[in-house]
Amino acid sequence: MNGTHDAIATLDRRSFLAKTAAGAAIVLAESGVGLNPRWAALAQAQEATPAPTGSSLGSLGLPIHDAMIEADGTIVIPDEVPAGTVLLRVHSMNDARGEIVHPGATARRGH
Amino acid sequence: MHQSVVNGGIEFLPGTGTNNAPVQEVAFDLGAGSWYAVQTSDQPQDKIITAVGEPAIVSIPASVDVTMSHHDVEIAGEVASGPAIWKFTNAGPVLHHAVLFSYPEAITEDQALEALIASEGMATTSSDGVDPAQIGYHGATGLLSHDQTCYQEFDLEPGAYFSVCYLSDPGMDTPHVLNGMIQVFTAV
Repeated sequence: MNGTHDAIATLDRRSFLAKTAAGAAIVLAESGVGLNPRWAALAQAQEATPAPTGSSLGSLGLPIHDAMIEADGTIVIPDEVPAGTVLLRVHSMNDARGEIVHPGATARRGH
Repeated sequence: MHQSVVNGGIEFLPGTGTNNAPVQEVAFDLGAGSWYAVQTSDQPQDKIITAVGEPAIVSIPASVDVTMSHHDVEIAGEVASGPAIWKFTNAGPVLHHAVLFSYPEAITEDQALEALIASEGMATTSSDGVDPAQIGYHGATGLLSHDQTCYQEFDLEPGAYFSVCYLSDPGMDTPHVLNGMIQVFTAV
């Protein structure tokens, strides 16, 4: 491939976002800062925002857990969900990335 | 990534792609314990979510299987267009994710890579005439750690697409896409 050096330089700008995401996830996971849920705002968002049409995941019968990223970046998500396969429906008021991070054990699905 | 496990996620980015709706769904397997939902915008925040009880893993029928491994991504050469559940698995030892792009006509992996580079402002056209302005963003997975699986919906129109990973190995600067982690496929 021509211009490998330039390619690295340019793609790194986009890669940086991902690397920042991973770094932030670790920092935040290690700091463990919690935020107060805003269930009233979430309920309002659920009323205002219908579930996406043609939703196949939503038709599987899995319990749906709603979450929201508010305009100021605040995450509203249930404090507790059953372990195992989780279907998360995320309403976003913010152009953000969202990650789920566990600092230790994990559920593993047989491959 | 130290001892942490990253289990999928959702990316919301502005654009006209089919998966940029303000509501998105993702399914994943959470082991019992405390997890952190993290949003990584300019002002990242997190929220603790606790998974309780014996993990109940549910089989989810997926139309498209995507397996990411060491500097490689495997997708069937043809996938069905329309709404579908996609299963993403990271079988490699380091973090991966998948970013889906479209192009208006059939494209090779080398052409796609050159066009991506050009789209970053290096040139208005790639050396082989592929127009980077025609690249369309169609969504992405969150980051996946080794042996993690997540499920997302994508609604692709018939056409040419490619998937890339922009992450790099720990301590390295080279994005995986430059190590060959790019795969073209067609939605039919």
